[in-house]
Amino acid sequence: HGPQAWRLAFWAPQLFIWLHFGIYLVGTIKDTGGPSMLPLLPVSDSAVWISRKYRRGRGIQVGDVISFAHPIGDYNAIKRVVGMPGDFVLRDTPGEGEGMMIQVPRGHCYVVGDNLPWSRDSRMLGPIPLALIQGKVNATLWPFTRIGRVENGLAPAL
Amino acid sequence: MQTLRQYARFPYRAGLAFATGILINEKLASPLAIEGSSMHPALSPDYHATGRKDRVVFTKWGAAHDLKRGDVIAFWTPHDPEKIGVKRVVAVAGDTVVPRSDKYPLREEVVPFNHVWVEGDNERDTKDSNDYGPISKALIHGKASYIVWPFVRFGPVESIHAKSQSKIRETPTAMVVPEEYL
Repeated sequence: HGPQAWRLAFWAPQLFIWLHFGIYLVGTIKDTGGPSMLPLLPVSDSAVWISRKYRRGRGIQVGDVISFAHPIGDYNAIKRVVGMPGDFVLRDTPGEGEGMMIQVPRGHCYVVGDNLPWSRDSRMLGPIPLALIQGKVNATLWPFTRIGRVENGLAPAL
Repeated sequence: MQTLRQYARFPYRAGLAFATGILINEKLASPLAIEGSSMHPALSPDYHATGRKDRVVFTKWGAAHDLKRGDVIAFWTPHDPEKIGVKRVVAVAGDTVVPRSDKYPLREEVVPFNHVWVEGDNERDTKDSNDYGPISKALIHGKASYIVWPFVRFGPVESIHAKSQSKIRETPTAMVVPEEYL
């Protein structure tokens, strides 16, 4: 019907603009997959909330879980930050390799999956630019039984 | 009720204009002022003398996908996540580069998949892949299309192939995704 079609043509673009605004500046829901972040995230059928407040590494600290654009594969990945610029990190898996420590370069961070044997991360890619960070994984939303906040993994020393 | 609507109308429209600006800047076209003389003489040729900056429009949609050697791009710099650099793509994934700088840690390097090697046209005043290595296409912000200001310099940003002091051995075939990243 005439008037209703006009109303839709008027409001639909505005809704789209506001949706993009929210996804760009506030945050987004993303589905995740893969074994690299077990036991925090299941291998399939899970969804997380990614806060865009932390885009390009703003306010990211060691222990945060981040979503970043993969520098080689054309997709996004979720890993945990274990080193920020200037920090010294173990280059390889603990107990493997020559035990070499490297300093994370300016503007970069060192990311590693929680499930060490089943994760392709900075141990393979090297430090990644902070500018690739899409946001911080603040909460798990799905599966429903695991809904909750994602905590910083850096436990205080007892 | 009618007055409440009237008062809400202006802030709503201002917000919508801002949100529309972000949509256009992120998805369609993004204008940037070119600082520094690293792209002399193609962009901001008078920068070292008068400080005059060219305003260039960068296209966003699919910018990183169909890049050719010679295209000018804007990208988030790998050493500072809040800084945008503007340089020319001189080598694409699979090409072998012998960097012009002897300070580079490798004698030659094959540009990895989904990466490009970028250089400033003015080799005496540029910080580029000869300093920080190849950059990921995921860092690309846009592809330079038009100089829009100053008006006397209005025109397209030309793609100039093979403008480099480094030696480039071009790969004859496009590189495929390495198996370990599939």
